[in-house]
Amino acid sequence: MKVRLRIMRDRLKPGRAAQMIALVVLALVALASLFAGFIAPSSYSEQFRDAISAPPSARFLLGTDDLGRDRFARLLYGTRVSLLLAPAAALLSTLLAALIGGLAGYLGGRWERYVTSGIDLFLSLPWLFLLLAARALLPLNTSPITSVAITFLLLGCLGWASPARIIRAGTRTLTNADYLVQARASGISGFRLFSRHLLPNLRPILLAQFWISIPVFILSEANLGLLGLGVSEPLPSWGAMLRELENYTAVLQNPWMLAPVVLLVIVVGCLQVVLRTEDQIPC
Amino acid sequence: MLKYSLDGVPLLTRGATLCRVHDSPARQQGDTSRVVIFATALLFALTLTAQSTNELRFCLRGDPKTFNPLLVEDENSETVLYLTGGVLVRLNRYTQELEGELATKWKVSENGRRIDFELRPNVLFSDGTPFTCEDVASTVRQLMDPAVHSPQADAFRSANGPTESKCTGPSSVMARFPAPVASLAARFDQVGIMSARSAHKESAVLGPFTVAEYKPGTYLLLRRNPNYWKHDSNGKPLPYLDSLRLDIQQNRESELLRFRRGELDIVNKLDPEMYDRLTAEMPHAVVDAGPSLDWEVVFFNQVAGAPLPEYKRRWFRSDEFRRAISDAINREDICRVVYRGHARPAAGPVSVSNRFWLNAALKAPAYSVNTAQARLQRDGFHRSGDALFDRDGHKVEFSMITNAGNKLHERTLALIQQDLAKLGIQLNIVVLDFPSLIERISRSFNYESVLMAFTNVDLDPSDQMNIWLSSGAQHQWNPNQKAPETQWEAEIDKLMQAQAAAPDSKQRKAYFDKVQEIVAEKAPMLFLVNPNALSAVSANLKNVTPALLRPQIYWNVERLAIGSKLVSQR
Amino acid sequence: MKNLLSTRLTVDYPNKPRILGDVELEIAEGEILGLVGESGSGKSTIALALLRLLDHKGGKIHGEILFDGRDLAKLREKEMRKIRGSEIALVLQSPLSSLNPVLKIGTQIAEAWRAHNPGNAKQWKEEALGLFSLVSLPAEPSFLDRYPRQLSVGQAQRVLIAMAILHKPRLLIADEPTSALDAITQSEILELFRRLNRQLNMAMLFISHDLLSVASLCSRIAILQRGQIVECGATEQMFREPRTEDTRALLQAVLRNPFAAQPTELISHG
Repeated sequence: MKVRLRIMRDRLKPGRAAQMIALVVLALVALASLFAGFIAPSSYSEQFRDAISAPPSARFLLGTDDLGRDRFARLLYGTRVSLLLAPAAALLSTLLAALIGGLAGYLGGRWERYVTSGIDLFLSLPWLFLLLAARALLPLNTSPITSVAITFLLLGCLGWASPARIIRAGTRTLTNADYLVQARASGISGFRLFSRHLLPNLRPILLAQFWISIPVFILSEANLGLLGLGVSEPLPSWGAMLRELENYTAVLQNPWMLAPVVLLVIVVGCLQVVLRTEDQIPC
Repeated sequence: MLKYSLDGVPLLTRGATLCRVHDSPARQQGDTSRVVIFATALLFALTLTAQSTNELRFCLRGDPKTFNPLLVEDENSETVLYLTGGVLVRLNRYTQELEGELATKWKVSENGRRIDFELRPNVLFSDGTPFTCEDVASTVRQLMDPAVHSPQADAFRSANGPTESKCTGPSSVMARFPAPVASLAARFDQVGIMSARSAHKESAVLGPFTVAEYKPGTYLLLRRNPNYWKHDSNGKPLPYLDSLRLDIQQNRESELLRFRRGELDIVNKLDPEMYDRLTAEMPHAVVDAGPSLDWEVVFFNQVAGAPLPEYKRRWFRSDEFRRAISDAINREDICRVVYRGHARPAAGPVSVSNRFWLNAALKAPAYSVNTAQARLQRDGFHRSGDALFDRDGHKVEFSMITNAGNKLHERTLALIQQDLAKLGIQLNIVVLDFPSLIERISRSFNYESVLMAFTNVDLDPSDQMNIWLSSGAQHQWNPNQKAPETQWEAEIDKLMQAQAAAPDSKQRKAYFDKVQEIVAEKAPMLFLVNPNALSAVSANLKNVTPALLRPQIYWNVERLAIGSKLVSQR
Repeated sequence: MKNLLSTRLTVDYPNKPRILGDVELEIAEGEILGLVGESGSGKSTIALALLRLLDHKGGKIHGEILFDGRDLAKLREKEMRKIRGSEIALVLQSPLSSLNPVLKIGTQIAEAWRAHNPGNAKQWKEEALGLFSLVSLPAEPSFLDRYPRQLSVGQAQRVLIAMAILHKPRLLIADEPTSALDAITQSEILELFRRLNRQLNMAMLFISHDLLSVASLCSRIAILQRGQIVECGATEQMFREPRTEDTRALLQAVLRNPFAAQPTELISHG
């Protein structure tokens, strides 16, 4: 009985409570997108050509887009695509950044100089043209889901440079820490020292980089659509839905078009709460 | 000349496409750009009070590439040429009739090789020098000089050989071309006459306006030509307007915004969505001039050496397959859903607006899944479950590419995708940047099918020569053939050459009617719709009679006038 | 007694050449050598140099480090790593910053254990708890779940010492191990060192600027000044007849302190 009470009290600590709420919200969003087929009455691709740009109704909860497709269904399926792939790409780029930037800062000396100039070079490359070349290499007949997965993979592989720079700087300040000298003096080997002793100390930086990347990648995916990369018709994604907001007068008249933005803010906010609270070491 | 078009906006240059792409990731910076727009708007409002009120203002989409009337290739230079250049004859954009300008009379002879002009007397260039037959002769010589590389010369050069042009009297001039030129007189609509003697060269013009100021990337100011020869019926010298201010602005949203504020008098090309938005606010300002001459077409890769699987090449080379696709596309829905009613289903290469050359017997294919299925069945395709298979059991799936950044195209493709799904065909939509698209359809031939727009500025079928001749570089589905690969292509070749050589236009029309019939039957290109020419005109602008042909609103620029500025815009 | 360590070292930093010049040190098995010097004299550099941990700061070592017959200066990094922690261990001066703030005590001990016992990685807990009672820490498994910031300074220093003796090293280098501690804890830790020295027959290099604690613990003292050993000898000898002016000055600083105990009394402890 006492034990149970303590757990209850623990959970009701402000940090914990916020974390629980955020987790529940995320779980609900994830479930809704997973079971989109059951929740949304229509398919995401079916065009109701007699009801284009319709306002919300019982039939179309968020109205229809300019091809008469159910916005609600598209939002749910788009969530599935973006919510799965954007964090995956963010994870990939953050890991790469941690590895490259972290190692550079950790090894110091000429390695650090090489990596720093490497990052500068990487950032100055004409990515637009390289991405165009990447598109040219892709076969034309790729399924929409493959195409979007490749896009996020590319984003993940290309997005490491800026965070790597920040992580390198962060690592640099840590490498002279006493605890690392102490660990080294205990005979702990180089890579383990890096991964087990140094990286955990970079966690706040890594987490910040991670959740900053998520909305960035979601928006980049939308912009890459202009290059023929990214999600292709008829598959929806948040990015594609956000692109519709370019037309701001239409948004003012049809505020329900903002639903993807609201969802994006909620999801990124919740992710942040969950990750930050977990980061706090329990006292 | 028939030109590729991006997003239905005529003649956007390739540079502009790249800019659009560069532009888009920065769209999140909307706030700053809006501040900039606001600041410029404010600036314009201030200058407005200071300047003469008799000024017409509209936007160019980019800088004109040249002021030389013989080197015009892009739309912006074309606009400048139209406003400043004096021509011998002009195609009246409204009546679609040819009218004399600097020439009072003309006569075509020698089967369309030779033309004689009688020139208008007492005409002065804008710099005050007199206009003579020598100016015309020298302009024609320069036009046809291979070293000049004039894009306009292509229309006159149906064979190699020398061109002769000389004065035949004090106010008459002749030109003889190496081979007959179809509708020879009408070709001179595109030839701005240059002074043979004036030291000012390009700035000495015969048109209603002259270039007064040019700030690249910002604006172009044209002032009325004080020596312009035309007068109105009351004897008042034309043009009425004192000046034209052409602001160089690529962003269409801000163009529209400035129009709504009354800072612009004309928006030359509106997309259907903007048109509807503007209609709600300013119902009297919008102009829908009806179906334009522009094409929205789909074609399949039929190139022999293209990197395609053999079975796919077989589909694309099958008339029945192409016609089945054509029948399965719901053109009415494209007009209604994508173009919001501002487009007309197209029957073939000639728009309904091209009254003379249209083969009225041809109708746009009626949307019918059944007809399409019957055609596919005849061609050995069969349905199994949700998918369609060819006679060898290959699942029918292919890609269709289009240029990125064009919402109309993307939406059209989404509709086609669902239409074709009803046949069991899986269509993969691929959006590519414009240069890659051109690379694929004209060099690497690494594509399966494409949806794209062509801008058409000319009524005459000779303008489409390059598309229909099997040897042509723009014979898109299978260009540059050494000898026609199919019988019907051979026949089109023959008919196109025949119509070009025929002296009389009735006979030419008969030939071209036949071409239109073959194109409808063989469907090498699926003509989807002719989008309407949509524009917006301020209520202050007087004497506007919108025409279908470009420039739709200011084709009669010398007669346009600005009403009282005191009249409120809204 | 057999010589465990004997060195003749010169260390250069890129911007500070000759931070140590020809430093000669000898430590016999089971002996506690005190190394005394002012701040900046190069004491910590010696500690790191002996373990060859200067690479990271750009320090270059010349000379030899003979340990148990082997020249550590010539070993490859991989072999050197095997010596760190298992044969020569190090305790740094500020206990709290020497523990990784984001890792539990247990994890850090496990890591140190694993470094030299990759085979039976699970045994660390037993070993750790055994050592905890040796260094007067609560030998409870729950203690292993604590984070460094949940420890007192004294506890942290004991944890570090426990970690250092995890593999029963033959030489323990303690770099100012007591300077961050209050007086009572300081004497407890000194007592602990004395005990470990006796129980484990572990030689120590005890580095400090505090002559009194050195004198209480060490049988021999070396005095380092501006990167050079200026004097080296038995503790008693040095207090009686300091050979250089510097040593004399150092001693006088201690003696003038009215609250300091008499050096002679302290010596009798040693």
